[in-house]
This record gives sequence, C-alpha cells and structure tokens, in this order.
Amino acid sequence: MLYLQTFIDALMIGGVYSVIAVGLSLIFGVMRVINWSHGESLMVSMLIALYMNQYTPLDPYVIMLIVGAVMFVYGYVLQSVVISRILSRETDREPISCLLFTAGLGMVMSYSVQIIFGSKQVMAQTKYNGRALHMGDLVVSLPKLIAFIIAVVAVAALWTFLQKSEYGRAIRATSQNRSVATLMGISEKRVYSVSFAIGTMLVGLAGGMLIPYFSVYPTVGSVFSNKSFIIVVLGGKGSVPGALLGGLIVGLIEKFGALFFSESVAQIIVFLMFIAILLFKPTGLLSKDKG
Amino acid sequence: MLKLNDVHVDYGHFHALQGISFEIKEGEIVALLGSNGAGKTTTINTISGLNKPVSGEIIYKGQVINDMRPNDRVQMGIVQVPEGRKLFPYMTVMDNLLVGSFNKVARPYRKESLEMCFDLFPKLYERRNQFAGTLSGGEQQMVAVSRAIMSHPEIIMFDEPSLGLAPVVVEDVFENIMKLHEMGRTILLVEQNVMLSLEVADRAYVIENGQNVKEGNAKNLLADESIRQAYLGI
Ligand SMILES: Nc1ncnc2c1ncn2[C@@H]1O[C@H](COP(=O)(O)OP(=O)(O)OP(=O)(O)O)[C@@H](O)[C@H]1O
Ligand SMILES: [Mg+2]
Repeated sequence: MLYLQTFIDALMIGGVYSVIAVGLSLIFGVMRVINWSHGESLMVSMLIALYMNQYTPLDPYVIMLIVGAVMFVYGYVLQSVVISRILSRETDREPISCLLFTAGLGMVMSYSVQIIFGSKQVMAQTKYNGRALHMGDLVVSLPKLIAFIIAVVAVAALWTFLQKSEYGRAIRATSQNRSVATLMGISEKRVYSVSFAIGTMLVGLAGGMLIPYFSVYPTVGSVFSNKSFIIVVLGGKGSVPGALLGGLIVGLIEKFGALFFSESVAQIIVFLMFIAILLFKPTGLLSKDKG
Repeated sequence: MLKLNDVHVDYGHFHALQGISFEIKEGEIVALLGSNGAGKTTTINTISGLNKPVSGEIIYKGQVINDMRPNDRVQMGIVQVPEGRKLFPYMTVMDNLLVGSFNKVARPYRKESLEMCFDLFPKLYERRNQFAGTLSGGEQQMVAVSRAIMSHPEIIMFDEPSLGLAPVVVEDVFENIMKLHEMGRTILLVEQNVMLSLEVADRAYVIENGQNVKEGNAKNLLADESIRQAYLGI
C-alpha cells in the first residue's frame, strides 16, 4: 500500500516535471537553443497566477489557461524580437550567445522579483488547497491529481499537434534540417517563434497548476529547471515522449529514493543517473538524434 | 524567366562566385557545368536564397529577388532538388512529400501533385510510411524529386541528381527530368554526367572558379573540342 501511494505521488509530480521539460526540449530540439531562463519563466508564471488568484474571482484552472496564453505571447515576442536578432548574427548551429543571453535574462528575472517581491515564500489560497480524495488507505491530493491530468493531456496534445498538423510537420522539418525546411517554403523565423511560444506556454500552464500546492518564491524556478535539464537529457533532446518518460522516471526516483533513503539521497541518485546517461547513452532514451 | 546578372557571392573571405551571368527561358532545360568547386551548388543556393549575393542581380519574371527570403521564393515557383538529397530522415516518405507542399500556393494542388509523384514513382507509394532516412539512395532521390514536385514549381533546379546512383537508375532519373520538362517545367540541371546532361539540355553554361567560361547550344558544346577534353575525357 505504501508503495502504491508512493507510486501515485511520484507519477503526479513527474507529470508536472514532464510538462516543464517538454517545453525546454521543444525549444532545444527546434532551435538548438538551451533556454536557461525556463525556470524563471515558471517562477514568473506562478507569480502571475498567484496574484490573479488573489485579485480576481476566477477559478485557479481558468487562471492557469490565461497564464498559459500570456506566456505564449511572451515567448513569441521574446523570440521574434530579441533572440532572433542574436541568432541571426550567429553562424554556429548551437549558438553560445543565445545561451548566455537566456542565462542572463533568467538572472535578471529572478533578481528583479527578489527586489520587488522580496524573498519570502507565499502559498496561494485557492479552493483546491489541501483537498484530497480518499480511496481506502490511499490519499490522493486533488490539485496534484488535476495537475497530473492536465500535464499528460498537454503533452499528448503537443505530440498530436507535432505529428498530425500541417504546422507541426513544418516544425519537425525545421528541427531536422532548417535550411532545407526553408527550401520547402517554411519560414524558419516563424517556426522558431511558435516553438519558443509553445515552450513558454507549457511553463505557464505548469505555473498555474502548481500554485494550489506549491509555494512561490524568487528562486522556485531552479527547483524545476534543474530537473528539466536532466529530464531532457534523459529522455532524449527534442523528444516529446522522451520528456514525458523522463519526467515520470525522475518523479519515481525522487519519491522512492526518499522512501528508502532520504530526500537528499534521492536527489543524489537523480544526479548520478544523469551522469550515467551522459556517459553511457548521451543521446537519451528516446532520441532519434545520433549525436 | 530567370536571369543572373554579374552575381558575386562570398563565403567569408572566399570569393566563391565572381560574376556569374546566365539566363533561363521558360520551358528550357539549361545545364550548368563545371568541375568540382566551380561554384555550381553555390549558384543554385544563391538562386534559392540560401546565399546572399554581395553584388549583381537575380531577376525572376522581371522582378529582382535578391532580398527575398528563401521560403518566399518557393512560393514564387523556384524550387531545388538539393545536392545529396537532404531529406528529412526521421519523417516518413509521406510527411516528406507533404512538407514539400507546405507553401500556400502549392497546397491547393496537393492531391494532384501527390498523384503525379506516385505515377512517376509507384515504388514510393509502397514506401509511403517508411522513414525517409532508411530508404536506398535511389529511392531517396525519388523522394527528393517528388518533394520538389509537391511544391508546385515553375522552375526546378537539380543539383547532381545522379550522384551515387547506378547507371540504370541514372537513366530513370533523366527520364523523369524529361517527363517533368514535357509537363511544362523549366529546368536548371547541374550534373557530373556531362554527356547525359548535354544530351537532354537545350543550352548549357560552363563555369570555372566562380566565373562564366563558356556557353552555348548543348549540341554545339557536345562537339566542342575543349569541352570534350575537359569534361568527357575524349
Ligand atoms: N559554406 C562554405 N564556406 C566556405 N566555402 C565554401 C562553402 N561552400 C562552398 N564553399 C567553397 O566554394 C566553392 C564552390 O563550391 P560549390 O559547392 O558551389 O561547388 P560545386 O561547383 O557545387 O562543386 P561540386 O561539383 O563538388 O559539388 C568551393 O571552393 C567550396 O570549397
Ligand atoms: Mg555542388
């Protein structure tokens, strides 16, 4: 019973990890840009959701959708106005200056929030806080369950979009060979903007689904972004199913590691696994890439 | 239809095209010849918009297109079958073809273009759900040609379509180029197989070190002593 409970807890947090990691992975897969401000985008999303929850009567999950939309626009504008300019000056396929830029942006976001908001931890008060379903001896937290379901639906929707839709096909083509994709009439810049926007939108959704059970503070982003880097490498860079699988695996290791040993040991195991993957299967579990 | 006027292209400090000029009229097959490194691929990529000329003009249907983005040129009907095929390896044959008709002009013709491709290459229909990266070289070439057809092109530029193919398959490829030509496509052909290309082409241009060195009627060039020595070894 304890194992089943741990398994459920692991899946529920793993789903949220997945949705965050999928965003990072999509951006990397298409643009070869590692968005180091991904975690800070999550933090800002949580903050927006927190304030909207406080000052509007909207349901937290409606707020989540709004934050998702806001973050979509944010990602689109950030890519098409700022990053594309840096990118166009780089000839390298994995541009270092974009990396530095997003890392710097992340710091600016996190420090600005620290200055304005202070470094306190704030828990949103929603009607879902602390609600749980009891099934026999099992206790399933309602907001966590909802977050898990939304996360899986979001990842599945993204996968379907990429596999089945006209634009999804264009995104896949661009990630496989961007110059040939432009020779097929695809606007590379637009694909980049849409991909970046989808990536930040997923983080916006994640921010919204987290606030009923996770408190907000200026560095909360790094808790999740560190894991999502690991998940992306674990699942395979650019792979959507890989990120889903990776998220669930990290969730499982964390929860079972904490059960058998302790939480810090669990984190160490996660990092050891990360190193092992880098050494023995650097392309990740589900990547199609050869290098 | 397409005209290059004294086009210069640099790769960093390397002056790859040093004043290329030529013209292709509607409905023609024009061959572009030259030894390795002469600048043939660079020329095609410049017409497609992947390389930017530092000077000179590219004129398509009376319009200077120097500053037009590559994806917009596709919509205008300029398409290439790139050197080395360059398929999307992790996409199915079908997806590769559908990507070809991504542009708005081509999309309404998608169904008939697909039919045309499967008519030309029945084998592709059997292979439609296979990843393009796992096809044989000849099959990949079929996909590359089909993908270009899907773009609803007016002018198709072939960059070494026979590269790495068995002689029998090469003949197939040329047959299909002729078929496309009969269907009204204008064709720019870059080929190592000089003999074959001069046989199918109306006219040809020879470039060396990024410069025009010779041009003329294909039949005359085929008889030209210096061409025979330089490219045909006879
Ligand atoms: N990206 C690049 N950077 C630097 N130099 C390049 C680049 N691409 C091509 N070149 C150089 O430009 C010249 C022309 O190259 P190009 O590929 O156009 O030749 P080509 O005529 O197509 O040759 P081949 O028959 O071998 O395909 C070559 O000397 C080549 O080394
Ligand atoms: Mg070439």
